Amino acid sequence: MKKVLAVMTLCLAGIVMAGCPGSNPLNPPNQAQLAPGYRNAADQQLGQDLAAVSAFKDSEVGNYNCDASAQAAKTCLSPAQKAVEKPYLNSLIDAVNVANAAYTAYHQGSQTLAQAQTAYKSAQSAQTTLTTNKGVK
Amino acid sequence: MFLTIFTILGNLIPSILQNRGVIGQSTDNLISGLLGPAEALIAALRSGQSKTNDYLAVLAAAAGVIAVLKSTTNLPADTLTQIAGVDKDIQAALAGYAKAGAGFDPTIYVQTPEVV
Repeated sequence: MKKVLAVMTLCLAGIVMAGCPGSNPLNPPNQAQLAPGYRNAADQQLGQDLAAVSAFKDSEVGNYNCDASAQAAKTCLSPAQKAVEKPYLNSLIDAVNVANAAYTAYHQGSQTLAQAQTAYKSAQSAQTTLTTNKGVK
Repeated sequence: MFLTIFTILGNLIPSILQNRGVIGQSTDNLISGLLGPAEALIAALRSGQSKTNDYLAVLAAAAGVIAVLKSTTNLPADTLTQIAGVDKDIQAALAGYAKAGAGFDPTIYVQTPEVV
């Protein structure tokens, strides 16, 4: 129990730090707080949201391919889990690739924010579908 | 992004808790205690009637549940692997979000080949 409480305390401290301006959807960046390289607040918010989905996907690809990070964390998927997960993981990869291209085009000014947001929502949906179908029993 | 994490946990935790027969009463009670207050907070978040502290409380509860489940060694091995994997994925997502918050980085938004 003490161990659980200690872990929760550490997590909470991390979450509180994540609550700084610009790092929380309830506290979005304004023009004056923009991080370097972003065009505006919407650009930064979408960039951060997509970076989260992209990092989630990279981590899960690592679990699938049993890379060094997954070996260290003991999160390599079994052959049975890989068989269940493969089509959903590939759908997520494809959706994130489309979202990355759309966001990069928006960031460079050659696509609209709405187009980039639509592609991001598809990636988010693919992420949810993957976790729903991971086959946890 | 936080709502995405809640959605992931919302999908994952019920299927894990189907193993309640093997996780033991004390662990079951602990998880129920952690999740109970979070349910009302999640409802508030979804309705838009929320405060920053609600997000923090729900994430803390979710992190606590994951920690409890990871320490429940009599769960099936596959389930433990899945729990650890999702925990790793969520930590990666949070780190990715924070990294992009430090400044625009084009190397984040690259194309990835499908797995084989």
